[in-house]
Amino acid sequence: MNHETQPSWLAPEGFAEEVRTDLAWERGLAIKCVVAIVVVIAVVVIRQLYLA
Amino acid sequence: MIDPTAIAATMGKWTLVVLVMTGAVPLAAASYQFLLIGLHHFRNHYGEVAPVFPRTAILIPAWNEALVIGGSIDRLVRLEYPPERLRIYVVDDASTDETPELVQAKARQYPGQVFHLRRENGGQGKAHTLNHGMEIILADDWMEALLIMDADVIYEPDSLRKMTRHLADPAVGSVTAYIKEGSRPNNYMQRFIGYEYITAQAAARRAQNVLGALACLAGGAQLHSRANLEAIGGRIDTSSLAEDTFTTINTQLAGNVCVFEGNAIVRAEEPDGIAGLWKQRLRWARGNVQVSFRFKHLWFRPSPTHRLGSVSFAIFWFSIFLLPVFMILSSASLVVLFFIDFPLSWATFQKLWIVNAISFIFITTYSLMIDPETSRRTWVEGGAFPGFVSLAIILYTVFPRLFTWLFTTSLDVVGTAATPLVIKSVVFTAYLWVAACMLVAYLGKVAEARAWWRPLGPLFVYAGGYGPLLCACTFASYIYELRGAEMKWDKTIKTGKVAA
Repeated sequence: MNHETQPSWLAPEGFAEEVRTDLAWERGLAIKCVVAIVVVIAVVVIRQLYLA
Repeated sequence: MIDPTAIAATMGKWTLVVLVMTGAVPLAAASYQFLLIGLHHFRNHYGEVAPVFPRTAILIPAWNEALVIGGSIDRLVRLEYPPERLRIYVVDDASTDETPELVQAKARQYPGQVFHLRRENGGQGKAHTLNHGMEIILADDWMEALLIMDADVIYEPDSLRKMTRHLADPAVGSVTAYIKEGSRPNNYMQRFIGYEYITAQAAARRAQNVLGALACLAGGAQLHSRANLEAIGGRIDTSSLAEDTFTTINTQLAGNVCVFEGNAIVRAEEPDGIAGLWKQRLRWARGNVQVSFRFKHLWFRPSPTHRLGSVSFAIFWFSIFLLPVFMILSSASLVVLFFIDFPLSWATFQKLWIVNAISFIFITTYSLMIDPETSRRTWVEGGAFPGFVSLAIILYTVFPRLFTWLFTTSLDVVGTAATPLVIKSVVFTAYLWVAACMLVAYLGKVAEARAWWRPLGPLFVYAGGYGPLLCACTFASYIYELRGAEMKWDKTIKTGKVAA
């Protein structure tokens, strides 16, 4: 295949970039997990304050 | 002096308390599963991927798919994948509509890339149709990987190559993708399913990646290496209604790894009503009953060759499979405690719902963040997943004074008061609700089938809950399997509503 017309997804650098993007998404999910835990803790704390 | 009667009574009560708390097992297990997703960043298969493009045969079983098959083939040939390494085989399962003519026309339009395989004696089910195609494809050594899909699903242009990159690791036998509900326009049922797929696929299958054991390769997106197909005997199991789960388990028993690729997106049209959902899910649930018994030697038995026997995987599997049992046991025990020790029943009920409320808030908050694109359309159904009545109980659990104020104000509006009898009646109803929600959600199916009652169908689902509707379906699957009911392959009707 001619390098000039080669789609980016076939190029090694395009592949590496795509994997980095997907890994960044997975890292985002890890952060969102922490956010969801913080939301739960916040609800529990508000409940305790509300009941106090 | 020891009083045996008093000891027996105390033990009986505490047994009931334990049984009540089994109602919290499914959501607690789901929370554990969701916590594992946070580890997917650290434990995934991306370290082993490479830009590989095996010669891939796409196998599409098709029975009367004239509405969708032409568009599906056009989109498949445009996938971001080297065209000389891609072939599409449509196994036409004795279609009686224009499917054969349409596929033959596409075979002429894309010579050497699209193939029409006709099965004259059809109607035996998807597994038989797939086996017909696999036999032909495996007979030719051109194929290095096989993608099994459904006729209506739409692959994002990059999805196939995002799946094949995992086959660079010879330990990987199969890869599956994230199937999203893709109907446009969609209705309430398809939004419920859209949200459910965030939890059951994007979330749960990432957690299974972390565990190293996958429960199911999605039927519409299964990529297998040739070596894996040969290792599992070159055929799909035809003795059950869960052929995709059998393939998944057999793959892992053969020592091959199954990977869920959450960034490969596939869109599918799902049922738009309760009857269609019930038909589809009853088939899946009956298949799960068959899997549970057929592979009974696997559960809770760790093995050096696969992770299917891990305790965590068994907890995930049985917390879903036995969900109706947990709900009925919990509700029945609450009712018994109500009559023999009301204060203990009330304290236990509150503990049950504290666990459920915390789990629900965590799971829902996280799910809505996992797939923002789907969440924008389905957040209402995500919140309503357990049903509005259960949501009211959750509201009471979290903010009891607010709920009590709302409740007494509502009673004032209708001209009554919160007398002890009214309060005890509400509490008793709440105890029953733990299991009765399944019945109420099921009434939605009954209502949908009757012309005058049809508009009430969605109301029953929102009130009883989509989750409880699926539980009712699982309960029905027990009955069907106990009765040894005939295994019918009821195809989900597709109309080509999936937005490209």
